[in-house]
Amino acid sequence: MENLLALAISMIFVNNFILTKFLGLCPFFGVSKKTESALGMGLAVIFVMGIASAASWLLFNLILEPLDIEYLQIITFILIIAFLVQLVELFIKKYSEKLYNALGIYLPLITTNCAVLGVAFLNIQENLSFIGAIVGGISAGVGFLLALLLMSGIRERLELMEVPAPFKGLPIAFIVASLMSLAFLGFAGMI
Amino acid sequence: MDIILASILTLGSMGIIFGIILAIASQKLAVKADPKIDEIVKILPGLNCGGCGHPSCQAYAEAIMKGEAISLCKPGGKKTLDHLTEITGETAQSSEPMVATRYCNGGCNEAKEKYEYTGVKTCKVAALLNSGYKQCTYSCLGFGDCAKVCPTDAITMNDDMLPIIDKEKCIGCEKCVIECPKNILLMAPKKKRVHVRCTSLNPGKTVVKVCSVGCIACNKCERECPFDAIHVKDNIAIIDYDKCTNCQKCVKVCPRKIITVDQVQESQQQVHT
Repeated sequence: MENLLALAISMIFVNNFILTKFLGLCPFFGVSKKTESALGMGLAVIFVMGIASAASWLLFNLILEPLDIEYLQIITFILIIAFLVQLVELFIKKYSEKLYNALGIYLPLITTNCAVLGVAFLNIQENLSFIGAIVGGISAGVGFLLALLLMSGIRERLELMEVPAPFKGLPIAFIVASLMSLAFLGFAGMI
Repeated sequence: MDIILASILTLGSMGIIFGIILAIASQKLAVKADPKIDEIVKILPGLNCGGCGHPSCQAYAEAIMKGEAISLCKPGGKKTLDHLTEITGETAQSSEPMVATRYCNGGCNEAKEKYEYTGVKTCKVAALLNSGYKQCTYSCLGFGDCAKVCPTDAITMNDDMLPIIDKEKCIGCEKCVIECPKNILLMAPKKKRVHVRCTSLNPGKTVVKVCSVGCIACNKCERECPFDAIHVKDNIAIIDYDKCTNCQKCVKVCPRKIITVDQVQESQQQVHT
């Protein structure tokens, strides 16, 4: 149990996917303009990461390893993640059109989000148990959501700030991101 | 051999299973879209110019079904509006077609340079360096940012480094108006042909020093106009397009020749006469 807690904290803060591992930067800048859509995107990523790590763990340990075809993990993981995202998209389109519109193009982009594939690989690499993989996946998603929410909060305020003309929009967002990344470095060595 | 067989079977069966599940899911979770949306998309020009404030014609069609005004499509003009009225049953006043108009005649021969600019050849960048390389801070910088964003190629740059706007091609999407860092491109009614080609708020003395085609606020046009349509305010003559009748009296009287008649229209007129 303690191990799982440590794993969760390490995934959220110490090894934050966006700010320390630099994975999934596309949605980090694309969807962080509004807190509302950032929240939606973050929740979608938590969900996808959770089931993707569960599914990929099962796939790896029950099929790929016994059959001795571990070398297929990249292509099979991509396949399973793409499948899951498609399914999630269909569900969201049906049951929450508002969220679907807010996420826009970024929901299909989760398919090719390296953070989701990254968490699946990390789980296998770290030799986690099934429960561990799910916890790892979900907390990686929570870390993603945290970074996204922080960023969107800052960017909403930035809109109202007097930013020098050449830095307006994305450039200042990049500077903010680098400062945030530096701040998150402070967590290193916590666990 | 085993490995090859195992990998083929694994990947193959995964593909088939996922495919079947997705096929079933897409059937069960299908969202019925309003057939009217497709109809509206067909009517809209399909330029995706963004002039209505929506990212694409598809998005505007969806917005119309949610109650957005039907009169926002400028490129479509009256024809599109009539069709939209038929479909939605809403009535809307068709607004007078507006086209982008350049309010500056200060090309590289007219407006004097402040310094030699050798940087990136876009107006946006040039405008950042001490308000541009022209002595007049209101002057066109002539790198054609407007021509680059124009979705219908209505803007071309002439030898004098001034954008020439083809009124017939302009769809009124206002992209160039937003793009111009000097704000010398503005929307004006398509029918009106007489424009004051200057936006400088500097007093006449300063204007004369920096540009040969700047408004010096001499008030001659204001006195000449029989319709009370042109007024000099803040050192610049401004035409009230609601009152202007294209009579061109101000054009003749302007000592700086900055009130001009649209060239395109002029040539057409010549053909007629």
